[in-house]
Amino acid sequence: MTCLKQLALIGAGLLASSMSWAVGTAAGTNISNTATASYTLPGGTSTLTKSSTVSLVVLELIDVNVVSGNSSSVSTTAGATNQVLTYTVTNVGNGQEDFVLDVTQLTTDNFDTTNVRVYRDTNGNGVFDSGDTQLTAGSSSIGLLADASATIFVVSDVPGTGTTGDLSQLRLTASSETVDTRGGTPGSSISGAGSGGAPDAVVGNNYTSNATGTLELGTSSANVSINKTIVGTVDPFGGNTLVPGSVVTYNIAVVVTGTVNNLTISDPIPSQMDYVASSLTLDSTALTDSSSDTDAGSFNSSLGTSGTVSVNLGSPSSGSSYTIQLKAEIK
Amino acid sequence: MRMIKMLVGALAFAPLMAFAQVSLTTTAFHIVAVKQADGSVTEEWQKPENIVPGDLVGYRIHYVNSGKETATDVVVNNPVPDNTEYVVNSAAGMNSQITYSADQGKKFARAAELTVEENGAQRPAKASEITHIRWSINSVAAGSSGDVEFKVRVK
Repeated sequence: MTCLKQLALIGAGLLASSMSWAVGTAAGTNISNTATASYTLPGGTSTLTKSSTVSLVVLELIDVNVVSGNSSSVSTTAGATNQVLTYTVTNVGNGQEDFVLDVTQLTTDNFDTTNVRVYRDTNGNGVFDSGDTQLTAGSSSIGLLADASATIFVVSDVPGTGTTGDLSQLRLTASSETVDTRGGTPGSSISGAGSGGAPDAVVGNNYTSNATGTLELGTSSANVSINKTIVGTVDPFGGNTLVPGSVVTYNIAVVVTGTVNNLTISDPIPSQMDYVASSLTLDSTALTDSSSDTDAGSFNSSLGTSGTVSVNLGSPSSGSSYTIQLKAEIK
Repeated sequence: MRMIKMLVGALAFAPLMAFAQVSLTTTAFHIVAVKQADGSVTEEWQKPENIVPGDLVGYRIHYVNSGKETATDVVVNNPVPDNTEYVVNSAAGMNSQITYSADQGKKFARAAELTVEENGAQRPAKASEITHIRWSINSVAAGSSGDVEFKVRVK
């Protein structure tokens, strides 16, 4: 291993998002043992004797663990691009090690995604974004200190056609680059390959590990949460009682947790109320009531008993959130 | 003048060294579970190679009395090495009484009687808390020898 590469590894380890210093004795640690004995000779002379010191060097144990960061299938839609599956790769050995990442499409599922790419969550925010580094599946390796983890995103595109419930499974495999290069079976040692001052490395039972994530073609309803609350009431007397003439401000919080297309939020005004004209806002920006202009909002007075407010949010990405507010007056 | 004094000093110690008749030799082993031809698994004490966390290491301490007199009250002491944990019930030695310390060798007791203080009360010590092992041997006759041993697990 070159000096330069080692430096890069240390840097990468420090940046790793979740890090815990666990039990394994670090590679290169010296374990020494010395016994002593005391005894008495005739005449009462007490003497102390020492054994020579026996030293053992703890070698590097190469082990890695990959888990899926998605507890269940990730909902997607036909034709969706940049669909993200999340994995965590942890160096569970006792020395710094490079791991090669590769992605395979399982053959037991319903469809394969295309344009499969692998990214490391370089900026450590847990979300796939432009700050992350693309890796070449099958050849790029990531360096991890002992017990350090890296979050990996497998990003791909979904074919344009498919049936609800169809699954695509992608498996991320992390393998020790040392074992890939030098060969070896669990329990065998690789001469000269130890890190942290250990002369050799020992191949662990888990020198390679994998986890599978699943994309599922689904409906979008489960991916949007809507929470409507009253945030203010102004009565005709300047107070906040609910009497005829009081104006109530409604807040509709929308959170998108999956990929959805053509998301429209509709809010029928209650029959005992009238919509206050031009009171609709989206993320504090006013929207007009007209349905014929380009903004997202509209009020259709002929839909429902007191009319209906609609806001078209289009095809927001997962993680988006919106705040819609509108006012209505008690009749 | 000073030179001569030093020489005299060295000579004065020489007879004492001749009496240092019990000597110790410590050997380390890598304890490996090996599957035998008949399917059973046997623990083998192998050369101390390829030691990694989780492995068992055995230490065997050989004592020999090479003098001409019987040594009595022979006490072999061994601290549990750093980065290792004593394996419960693994200390052994013929004709020896084995005691343990869980406080860096301040007090020793038999395994069943060894306690540590926790929240102001005494409780039985765990194997992982043992810091020292002691083998007490009544006497080792001139020319005779023996072994004591214990196992640790690398943390």
